[in-house]
Amino acid sequence: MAFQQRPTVAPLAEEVAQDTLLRVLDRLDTFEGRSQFTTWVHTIAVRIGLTELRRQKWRDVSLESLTDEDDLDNVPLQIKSDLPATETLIEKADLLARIQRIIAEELTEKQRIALVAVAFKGMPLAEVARRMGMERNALYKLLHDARLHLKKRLEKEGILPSDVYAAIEQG
Amino acid sequence: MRLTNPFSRFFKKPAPESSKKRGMDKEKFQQMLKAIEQTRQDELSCDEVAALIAQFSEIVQDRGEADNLMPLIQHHLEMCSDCREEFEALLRILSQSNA
Repeated sequence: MAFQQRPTVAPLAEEVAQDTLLRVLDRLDTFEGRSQFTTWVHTIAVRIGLTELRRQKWRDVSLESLTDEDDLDNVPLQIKSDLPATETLIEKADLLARIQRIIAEELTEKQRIALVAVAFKGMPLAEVARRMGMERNALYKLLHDARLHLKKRLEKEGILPSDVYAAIEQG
Repeated sequence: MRLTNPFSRFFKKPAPESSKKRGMDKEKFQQMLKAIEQTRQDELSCDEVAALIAQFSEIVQDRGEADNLMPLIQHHLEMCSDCREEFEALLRILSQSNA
C-alpha cells in the first residue's frame, strides 16, 4: 500500500488494512462482479484510508473557526475607488448587491455553513458532515439543494454566470 | 482528467485561520459559481457513485480517459471533492498494479 512508503504511517496502513478486510468480509454479498474483485477491495481500502487521513488532518479544526468569518458576505467584486463611477462600475456594484441578497435569502443556515466550509475552506465533505451530525451522503444532498436553489434564483433574476465571471475578471 | 498525488497533501495540516487573508477568495468564488451553473436536478449521491466507482475506474484505466462515459458519475466527481480524491487514488493504484 502507498502509505507504507512513509515509515511514520506504517501503523495507519496496518489499521486501514485490517478495517478493509473486516469491511470486505461484511459486504462480500454486495459484490456484483461488475469490476474485478481486487478493484472492488481497493475501492473500500481507499475510502477507509482517505477518511482516516482526512480525520487526522482536520482534527484540530472546528467548523466554527472556519465559518466565523462568513465568506459569502464578501463577494469579490471590488470596485476600484480611484476610477470614475461609470455606468459599468455602477452595474457591477448592483450585481454584487443582488448576488449577496440572493445568497442571504436562498440558503438556510446549515447550507451556508456547509458551503463555506467545503467550497471556501476546503474541508472535506466527510469532516463537515461529521461535525454537523450527518452522513456524507446527506451533506452532499444539502449542498446539492443549495446549489439548485441558487441556480434557479439566479436564472429567475436574469443573472448570467458569464456576467459575473466578466465582472470578477475586471475587478 | 488530470491526476494529482492523492496522498502527499493529506500530511500537511490546514493553515490556521488567523494566518489567512480575510475576505473571499476570488478563484474559489468563481469555482462555486461554476458549480452552481453546472448543477443538475438529477445528480447521483456519494453512495450511488461508490457502488459504481470500481467499474468506472477500470473502464477509465483501460480507455485512458473518461470520454463522456457514465456522464452522471463524471458530473458527481466534478461536484464532490471527496469522491474525486478517492477516484484519483483508485486510478493511481490501478495504474501501479498494471505497471
